[in-house]
Amino acid sequence: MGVYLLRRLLWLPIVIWAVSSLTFFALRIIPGNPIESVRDQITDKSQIARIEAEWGLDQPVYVQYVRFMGDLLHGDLGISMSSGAPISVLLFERIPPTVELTFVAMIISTTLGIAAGVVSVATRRRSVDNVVRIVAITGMSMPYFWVAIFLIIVFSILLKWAPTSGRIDASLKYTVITNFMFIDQVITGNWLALGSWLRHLVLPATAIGITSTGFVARLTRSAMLEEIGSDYVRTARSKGLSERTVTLRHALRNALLPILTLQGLQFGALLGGAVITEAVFAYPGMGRLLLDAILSRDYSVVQAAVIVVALAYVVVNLLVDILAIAVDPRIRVN
Amino acid sequence: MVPIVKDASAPLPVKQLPINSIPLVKRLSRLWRKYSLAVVGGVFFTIVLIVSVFAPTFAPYDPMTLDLKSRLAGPSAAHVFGTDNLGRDVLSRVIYGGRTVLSGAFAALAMSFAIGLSIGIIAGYKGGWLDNLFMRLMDILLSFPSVLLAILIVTSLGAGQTNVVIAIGIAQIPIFARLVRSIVLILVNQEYVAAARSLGARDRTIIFSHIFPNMIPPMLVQATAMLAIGIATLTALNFLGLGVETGTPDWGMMVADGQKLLFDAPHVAFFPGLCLVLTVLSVNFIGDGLRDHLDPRLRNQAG
Repeated sequence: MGVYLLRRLLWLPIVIWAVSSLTFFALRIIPGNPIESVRDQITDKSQIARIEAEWGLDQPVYVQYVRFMGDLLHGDLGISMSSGAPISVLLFERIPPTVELTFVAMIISTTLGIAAGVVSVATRRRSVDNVVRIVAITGMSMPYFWVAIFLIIVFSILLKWAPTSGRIDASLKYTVITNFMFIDQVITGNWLALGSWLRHLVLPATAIGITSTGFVARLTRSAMLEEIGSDYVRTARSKGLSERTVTLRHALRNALLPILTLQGLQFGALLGGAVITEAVFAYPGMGRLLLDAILSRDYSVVQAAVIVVALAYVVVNLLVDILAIAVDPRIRVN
Repeated sequence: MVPIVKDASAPLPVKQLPINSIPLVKRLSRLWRKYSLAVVGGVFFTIVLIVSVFAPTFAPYDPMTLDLKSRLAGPSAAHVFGTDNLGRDVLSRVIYGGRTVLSGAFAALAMSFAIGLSIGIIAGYKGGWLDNLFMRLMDILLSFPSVLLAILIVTSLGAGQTNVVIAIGIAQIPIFARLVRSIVLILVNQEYVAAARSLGARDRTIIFSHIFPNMIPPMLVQATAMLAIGIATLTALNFLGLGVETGTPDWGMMVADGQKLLFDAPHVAFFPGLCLVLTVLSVNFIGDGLRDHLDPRLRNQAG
């Protein structure tokens, strides 16, 4: 186990290097000098020289690359080509909303998915099983942007329960400390802002969560069926334990491990979903930042956003793997 | 509760007849009972496929013709799905959109399938440093969430229909490559492969006549799943404005256009979106049925 863990940890910096390099070179294949595409948008001409110097665009690509890697090692992500703002400031604004969004989406998909899976196994009724199965596949089949629009039609336009866009009511005043809305508003006791934030969060988070709910439900079902057919469950039953205890305390508990691994992988899908969903809800997170940067050809921001999101995915999966080892002694032995 | 694998040595029940002597009607009804969702999905997808291929025959109007007099008309007998903000017939655009979506998704699938298959076979069969190199490369591609990778590639190549297809194709390569490699690793160690090798069969013969045929079932299941994801990703990129040019009939693009009109004319976004969801759903139903049928463990549970 120690060796495996060590290997995973040593692999991490290599992945970070590879992901950053791939992103760097992918954005240098673009024909022409990237500054050309934004020249018209920049009114302050001194900005152009600054950006050219910043990007070292007069230098050969390998010099640019060495410089980029050096800056990255120092945590310097450079400045936005279109606005000139330091990218670290942009990230401070945009990372927390996306973390909130994916976190809530993850809670939704995990709880709903496991509940649906358990119900379909525990009731032992073919009709219930079939309904859960069809609902799960339907959830998996709905593209993020379509779910988002569907939710807007139903809950914003028809029922008027939730707003269609943004992170919080623009008219509300609130303090930014960590820029995590939940933490900030609980600290400052601003319940009005907290409520508004939650109402803005619920639809996009549901839109992202629904798709992976289907995956979780399906996996929970098959993992539990497998556990229920195993010897220790028969033993538990023959000891006279109630069906409820056997299902929840024995079968579900062991089925949780594959679910954990799945959710680690699903986190990538959630991040991808966030990019798309943020576009629909005009939600000011990393996805919106990335798309706006692509559309305005702000390649320094595209580069930073892609690297940050990919790294989040890599780190989460590493944590999931470590957690899986901690939880399951079988993996430790292997 | 349920036996996972039936005892292979147990004698067959007397009543079970060889499959060919069962009447066709009975076979079909048995198929229907067991795989009703897959059958529904298969029929629906076939219809979508036929209608898309023969779009000019099925579409009541030209998808590009503007009719500013009848803008944003709701569904009616003349325009079953209504018209959009430029008076174009939504049904006709949905039908032509099927062409854009399906051709793109199949092209991306073919690309990732061909490249992923080659990489997987070489890595699994040859092993050694080549295996290591390819798999680490795949690991790196998998370090990106796949939608993000596709977006990065589209940004790199420039927006456009072909580039979106290439982006999705590349993003899906590692999934096929890994699957193929894992299957090859199992098959290479089978006795019949060892037997073929001891008879002096060449690598090419072993790969094409002994390994490849056995890879088809799991690849088929994976391919349907990837087709569903490909359709969803393709339309998503088109929805975001990274793919087809404005005005091109495409389900994602049509939903994006309709998004601005949700309050006044929800039908403009609704029908292409519905068609998209039903198509992805039908592919997933087919995939689910295939999985049940080809995975013996699930097959025995199904009853």
